[in-house]
Amino acid sequence: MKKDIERVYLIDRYLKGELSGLALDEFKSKLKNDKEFFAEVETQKAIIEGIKLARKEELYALLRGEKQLSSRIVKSQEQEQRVTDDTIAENVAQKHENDYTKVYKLKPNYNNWFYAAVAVLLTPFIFYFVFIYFIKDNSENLSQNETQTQQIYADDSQTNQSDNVISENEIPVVKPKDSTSKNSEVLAQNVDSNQNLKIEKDKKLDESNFSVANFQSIEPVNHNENNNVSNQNGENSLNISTTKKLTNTSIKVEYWQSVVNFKGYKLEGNNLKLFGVKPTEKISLKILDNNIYLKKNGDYYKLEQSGDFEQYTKEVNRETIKILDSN
Amino acid sequence: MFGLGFNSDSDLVKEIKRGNEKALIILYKQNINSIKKFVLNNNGSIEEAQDVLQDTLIAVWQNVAKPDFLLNAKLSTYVFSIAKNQWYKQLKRKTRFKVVDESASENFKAEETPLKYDSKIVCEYVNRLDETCRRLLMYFYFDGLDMNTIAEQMGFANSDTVKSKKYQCFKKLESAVKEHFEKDDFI
Repeated sequence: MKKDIERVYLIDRYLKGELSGLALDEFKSKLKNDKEFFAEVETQKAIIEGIKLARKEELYALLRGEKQLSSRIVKSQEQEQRVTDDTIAENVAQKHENDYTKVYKLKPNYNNWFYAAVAVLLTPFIFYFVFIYFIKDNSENLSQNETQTQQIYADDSQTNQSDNVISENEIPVVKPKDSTSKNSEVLAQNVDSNQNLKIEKDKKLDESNFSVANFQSIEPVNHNENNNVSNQNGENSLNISTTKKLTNTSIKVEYWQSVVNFKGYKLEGNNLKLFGVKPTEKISLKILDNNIYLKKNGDYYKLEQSGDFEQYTKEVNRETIKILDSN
Repeated sequence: MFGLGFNSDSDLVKEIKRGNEKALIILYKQNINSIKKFVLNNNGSIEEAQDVLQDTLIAVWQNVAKPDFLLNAKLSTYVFSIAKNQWYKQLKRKTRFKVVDESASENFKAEETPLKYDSKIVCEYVNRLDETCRRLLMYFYFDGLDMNTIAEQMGFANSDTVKSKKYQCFKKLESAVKEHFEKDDFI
């Protein structure tokens, strides 16, 4: 068996032209003298030609039927039939018709991973462009309906003017950062007939500096809880005061008009931006226990140091109001 | 080309050496335009250009698979030079005035002994073999892959396993072919 394997392999090498020197000489002399061996080599040569032809035709079919590559299926060994000799001749005649129905095993395609990665990377961009398109579409619709928008805008400013009193009910529920405010911005986009989008921004009306006295409450020493006396005014100096004046703090106050008619404030350090308060209105600021209070129309509003847009919250604690009033 | 996975010359050569037919299709796509242009400019048709490229690529496929193959130029340049030769040969055959030395070709023919069996019939029996044998014999005899590469590509343990499996397959094919022709001889 092993000898046979080696003999066939030797003939292979001879036919491929891989033999040389002594091995080639030996082979040639055997070919000359041994007729059986000569016949064997001839048979092997013919069969190899047949194998080569089969592969050649397969590759030609692959090149010709390139587009059908994906539809080809793997031929399973069970499906292969041993055909009798009589049918072979017919099959040879049909050979060329069968070229395109030959089957090839396809290797797994790792490129799919590449496409998947590209798709994932592109998705945010697609969403972004769809979003931009949507916004643009919306604003075009609005500007087409020009008169209506104008009406809404006018109504907006009227309410703004009539709003002299800040009350909890009137404070809008939305903050400017919310999506509703974006819609309002679109609404406020100017009604220019040339359709150029003009985004109106919040307007700064005025600014002024307030020097505010800084008070700190002290635990009352006597038992009279109602004695809230200010040092500053010197009233009731006999009573022990419950507050103590510290330093004066300068607070920069800016008056802003919001396009979305937002009423609230933004407090960042000593910078206070007021929305919905007119510069002409009389307001005052007080600091108690490091909390800044805004007094307007007799009501106190505690201002939070959040650095973000906040709504006015009315101070309801009577004690605090009393202390604030007394200062 | 974008998204094909491999496109550099060295990648293509590597894939051809491994018997990956996808490389053949990529080569076809990469070269079809330049070959078409060349053949059309030299009295040929689009169909002839396609045939020339197919012949060329089959030749390239076999040459590249050889262990001593070394690519000195760009693969496309190599393909183009072979295609050019193929087309000029075909043109000579087409023209009535043959430039080829007649006597030389006759001598060549006289030396060539006719094959014992008809290759087309053998080819038919090759296609009747099971897929493993068919592929193994093709890889070894046509693609010229060495035993180790075949073992790697087809999942055999080692080159010795390939060698004995190849022998079995070859004998299977041989007996089938012999049976066919012996029967034929008696008729």
